[in-house]
Amino acid sequence: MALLNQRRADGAPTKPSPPGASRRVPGHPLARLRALASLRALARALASWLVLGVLLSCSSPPRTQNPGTLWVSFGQTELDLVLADREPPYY
Amino acid sequence: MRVGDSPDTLEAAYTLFGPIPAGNWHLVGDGILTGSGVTNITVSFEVRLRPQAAVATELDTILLSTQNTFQRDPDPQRAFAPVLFEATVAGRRADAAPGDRLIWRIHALRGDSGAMYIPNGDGDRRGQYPGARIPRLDLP
Repeated sequence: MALLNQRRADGAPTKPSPPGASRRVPGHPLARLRALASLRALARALASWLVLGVLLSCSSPPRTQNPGTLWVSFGQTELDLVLADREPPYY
Repeated sequence: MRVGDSPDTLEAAYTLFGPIPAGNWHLVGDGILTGSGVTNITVSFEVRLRPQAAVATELDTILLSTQNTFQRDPDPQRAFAPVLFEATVAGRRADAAPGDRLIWRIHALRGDSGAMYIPNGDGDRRGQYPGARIPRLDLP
């Protein structure tokens, strides 16, 4: 409010300050184009991540069927045997 | 891990995702014999279905069973070479629910005193014993 009440020494009211850059940019055609371009880039990035996620989820679906082959393998302690659905490395 | 006089039984388990149809199973049971002066041991192989909640064998369903007498190679240089064994065995249907376990039970039936059978976890030992495999089950 103090600024609103400022007056020049000759008594005339001060000119209002020009609008800030942030308020001016959206109205400028180039700035609009830039904003649109950045929005498109963001949308593309989001779409890429979405496609990547779908592909990854398709390539490793949760197992719902029994494997065709089970190998004897040693458990974590080597004192117990387990059946594994991948051929274990040779000891 | 081995089977012989003590312990006389080994088990390996897998948690199933569903039922297994009746059909032929292919079993590879290559193993190594140990024990001083041992020449043979007879081992049984069973595949069982064990319900998820079971803590012992009383609820097991035996799906298939076979056995083999393993003869140790008389060549001292090959005393610890894997002895090959494979068989195709008809198995009954397993009405398994997700979480039930498939049990491969290996049991020493008889043999020379002190004989032990060790499932061959070495495979062909990088070409040293051509044809030797890690024991496995091919489901129907």
